[in-house]
Amino acid sequence: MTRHTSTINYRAVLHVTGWMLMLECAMLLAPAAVGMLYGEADSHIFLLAALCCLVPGLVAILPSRGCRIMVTRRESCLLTALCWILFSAFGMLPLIWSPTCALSVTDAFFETMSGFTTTGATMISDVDRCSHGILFWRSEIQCLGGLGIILFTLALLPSLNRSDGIWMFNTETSGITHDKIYPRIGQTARVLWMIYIGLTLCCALLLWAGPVSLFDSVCLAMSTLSTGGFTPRSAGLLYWDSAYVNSVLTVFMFAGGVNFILLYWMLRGHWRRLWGNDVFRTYCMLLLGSYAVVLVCQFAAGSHGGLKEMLIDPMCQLVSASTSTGVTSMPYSQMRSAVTGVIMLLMAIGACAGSTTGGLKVDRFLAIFRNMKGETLRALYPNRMQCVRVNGAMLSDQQMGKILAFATWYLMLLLGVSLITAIYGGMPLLDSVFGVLSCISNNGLGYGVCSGDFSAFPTLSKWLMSLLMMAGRLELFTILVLFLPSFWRR
Amino acid sequence: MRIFISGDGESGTYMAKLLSDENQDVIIMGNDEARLENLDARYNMIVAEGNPLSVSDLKKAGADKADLFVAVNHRMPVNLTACQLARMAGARCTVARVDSGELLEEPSRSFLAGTGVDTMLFPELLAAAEVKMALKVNWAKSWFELHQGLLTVTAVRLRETSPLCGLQLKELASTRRTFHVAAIKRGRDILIPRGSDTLEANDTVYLVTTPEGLPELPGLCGRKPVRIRRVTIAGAGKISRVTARELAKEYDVTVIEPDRELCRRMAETVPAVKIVNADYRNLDVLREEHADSSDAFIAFSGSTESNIVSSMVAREFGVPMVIAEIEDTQYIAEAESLNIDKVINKKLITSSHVLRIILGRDINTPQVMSLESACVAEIVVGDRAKVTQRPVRELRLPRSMTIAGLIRDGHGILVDGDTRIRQGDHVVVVCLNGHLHAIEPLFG
Repeated sequence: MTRHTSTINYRAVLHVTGWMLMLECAMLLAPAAVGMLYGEADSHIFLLAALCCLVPGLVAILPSRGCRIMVTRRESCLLTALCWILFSAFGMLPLIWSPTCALSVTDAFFETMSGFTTTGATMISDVDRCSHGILFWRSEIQCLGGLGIILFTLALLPSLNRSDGIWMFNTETSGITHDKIYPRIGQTARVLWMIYIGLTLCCALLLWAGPVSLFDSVCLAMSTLSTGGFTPRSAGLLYWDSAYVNSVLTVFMFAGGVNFILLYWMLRGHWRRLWGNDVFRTYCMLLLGSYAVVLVCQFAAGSHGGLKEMLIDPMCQLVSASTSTGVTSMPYSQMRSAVTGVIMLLMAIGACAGSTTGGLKVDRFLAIFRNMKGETLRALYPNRMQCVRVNGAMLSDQQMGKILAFATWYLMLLLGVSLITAIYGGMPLLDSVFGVLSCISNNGLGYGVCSGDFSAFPTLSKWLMSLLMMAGRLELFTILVLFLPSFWRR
Repeated sequence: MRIFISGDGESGTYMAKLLSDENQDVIIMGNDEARLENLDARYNMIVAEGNPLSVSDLKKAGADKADLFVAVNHRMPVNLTACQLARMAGARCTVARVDSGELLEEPSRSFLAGTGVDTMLFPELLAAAEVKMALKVNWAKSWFELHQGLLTVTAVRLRETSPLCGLQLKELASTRRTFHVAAIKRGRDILIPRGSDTLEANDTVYLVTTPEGLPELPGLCGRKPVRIRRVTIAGAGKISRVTARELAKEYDVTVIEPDRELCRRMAETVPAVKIVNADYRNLDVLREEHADSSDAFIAFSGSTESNIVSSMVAREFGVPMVIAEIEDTQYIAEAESLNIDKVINKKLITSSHVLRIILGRDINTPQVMSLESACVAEIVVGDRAKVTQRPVRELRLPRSMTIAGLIRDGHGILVDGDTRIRQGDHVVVVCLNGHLHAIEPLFG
């Protein structure tokens, strides 16, 4: 084994990055095929973009062939970040080149990052104009980003299916602790992907059975299970304006917000585990609680409408906010501020860890809440042992400290970037806070100036928000550690 | 009866001495040469050096012909395997000491029984059960029901306020009788009382009663039952963990322990208790956590001396019920004289359970309870037994025993001089340790 003189094993990083680019190259063939199927003029740009991935990919892989991939904590953080950035950088090429959307580099990078991180905030104001290839590409990147690019690679690449892969799995997967179903990481990754794809197919079929066309239902299903929230229509869900579509989406968004390992146990028939799960129960309670608030608000405002407007749309909207899907099913911007408040709270808390959603996660919220309660009691009894339990397992002081640090970072980043946006871009504070919260929690809902699309933000904010989306998706620390000088020094 | 004890630790030697006094044929196997030599020189038993997991060692020492094989080595897996090997070699009944409650539950219990481990004793759990009983019946020191409560044996310490103090048993006999004084423990001695014996304050009396007489007992002994809600446990060792888990369902439990790691383990195993990470010898901490106003204080700190001291502090605070673990058997009498309501000694508890198994197998007794140096046995009177021939007064029973009561046709009856015992009665006998064998022929 060769001794590495530098701190970071760049050859290993190069090798894995090369394979990632090959993967993206393969992914780009799908929208090309869709484009050709519809006989669209811009289908060749996908092939061009694929070539752009293939060449650097080969250049990276060939010289480092046969080198033993030694991935440690450092490399895995760097690799994960690099991989997400490169995927977005190459994935934005069709969006820039295609004449049907023709975004600027800033906007295209934002859009692609928003796709991969399943945020779903869009820069394209007129989606209807986009070619089928572009629309499919937008949904495909959400589908891949939903469960995780690394997890996908782990399921495919046998060379990473060793202890090295675990480091990378840990940097990408969300949550306080990471459960495994099978002893081997590759098996776990494959099972998770199978559940995910199976649910996506079910969703697509159900939508297709309703008023949605085949193409739209596939796109919508891919964005729903990944809790991304890109829609293939400018009008969003209003295009169909159907109680059936909204109900189907609500159910599958909700499923996308549950820990996939719990879903696995549920599919294996262990229903008890699902309801016995503390986090899942809190997730449901939070949704039901906010549902009640919204219904009361609606009642107080004296609004009236059918079953869809009064009961289904609010639920759909709340599940969409909580699971960070970010599709809009009701005009919450024009409703009472209590509704906006509830939606912002749900956006910040998010859904269960280990799902495809963003935000603080219910797990952390529970831990923080219980810690707050315990610490308050400690003002009276200073010697009391503080025991914070989530799902019956006691959190160590280190874990609790990490959660609190996470929440603090989350809040600081949210406030910092919101202030920069508000001052630099001269936007209303609430709009900018909402927009930034939407990015950091990978949500995609907008308010005020960004209620339709996010193109109103200044360029600097767009780049910062792209970074925030990635940081939010990779649970902050993986990205933040790159900014430490000691990360690069031995 | 041939009893083989594997393990010469404290419990093993204590049990060996106890059983040897009980006139059993005891073989003890261990590996501490000095200790074994000492036992060999002083007591009536065979000692052997050997490995409990070696079949040849076991056979050489005689485990194959043992009626009862008791494994009390330090490590639980050794005990389980030793029992299995002994059973394979030919031992008739096996007992293993374990340190996990999970094995006692089904299906592990029946599985292990199938592989040769007949009985498992988990001393901490037995101790926890004693504590639970002590909190429930907090005016008595011990409490033992026969035949679903048809007769009850209680050990109560007489307070100065008790109307019984200073009375001769003869005088009691002339009043209405709701109880029978079966034994008196005064200091370190236990005696089977005659009519001329007097009851004194601070005696521990063993009373046998029928259900009708039970409610009067606390008052007669100068005690008042306390309703217990809040319990403070000092220490979070293993015995505390097991006890706290047993108590947490019914009581509001607070555990005080200076060691952070032990606190964590307690919090992991028993979610429902309050855990205080502080020194239980610190009076400020005890007051802050309201230990002074709790209804019971349990000293389980792992050190006998600390337990005695913290119990004294709790007494000073006025806690009505004080329980302490005293592992050093020599200190038990001292601890009792210091007004500790209940002394927990794991060795004693374990041995008394082993004794129960032995007595239960040996004589036709449905139930036996072992007191510190006396035991209560329920014996079924056989065909043409000597005791059925005359009233009790004329039986000339040995001084080491008394017939306290009997169960006939589903009713508990107290026995006096005029009672005539019939065949088929379940007789409750209290006798000094080591004498049960001598009285066995009386009952056929």
